[in-house]
Amino acid sequence: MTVRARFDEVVHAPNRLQICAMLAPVDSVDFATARDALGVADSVLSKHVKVLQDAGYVAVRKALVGSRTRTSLALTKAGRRAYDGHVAALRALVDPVPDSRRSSSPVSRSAG
Amino acid sequence: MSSQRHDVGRDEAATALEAIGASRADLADRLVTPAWYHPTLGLLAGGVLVSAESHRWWVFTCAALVYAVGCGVLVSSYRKLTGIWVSGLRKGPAGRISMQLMIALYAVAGLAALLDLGLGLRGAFVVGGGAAFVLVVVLGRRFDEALRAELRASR
Repeated sequence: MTVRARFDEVVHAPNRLQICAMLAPVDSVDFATARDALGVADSVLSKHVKVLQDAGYVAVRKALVGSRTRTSLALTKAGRRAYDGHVAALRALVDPVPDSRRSSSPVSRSAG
Repeated sequence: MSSQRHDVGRDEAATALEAIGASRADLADRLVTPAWYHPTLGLLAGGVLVSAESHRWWVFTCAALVYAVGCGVLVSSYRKLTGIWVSGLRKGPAGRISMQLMIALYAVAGLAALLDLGLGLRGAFVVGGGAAFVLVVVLGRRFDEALRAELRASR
């Protein structure tokens, strides 16, 4: 599937970009693991997750494990599309004409 | 909001891409499978095959139940330890190894069934169980290595 380069303000904020980068290649990441990886407080992660959740990019699941609630985060299909498009837009900015296409066609810069 | 144009320069984009790479590397470092994980999974899978050697349906059913419950406990323990869950059914090199493991296990089970039930060769299921154990441990570890390499190499 072709990824359309598209800059995404929701994804671009540094912490949210890292959250998406962490969630994109896996099925789910626990809230505590994401918090530790980012090195932020619970409240900061919650705020960013809420923004991603409101945009429909992240799904939050809560499961009761013993006496504790385990909260896990997963990227939705829309979130994956937005993240892939955003990364493609960043790459187009860094390298507008990748080596592999330098002799053929220019990269689409439809970001935004 | 998501489609608004943002004035991002080349340097900012490069910094963002570096941050993505760092996140992936960190994720790969966290995906350390406990040493007991694959041997336990191998014992559970091999146990199902070995149980068929008894030719008693209830022994096989019990082994299958132990396998199902054991897999559930393993998955839960893995998630608790790493805080991450990755399905084996995924695209890429790691997913291919996962598929190879499944095909190999079915082939071993099929061959053992043919030798024992078809040709009356006793001990085929026991040997098959041993082969299943080795396959799970070897290919399971290869899956982990491929997955970590995938994470480090991907954007």
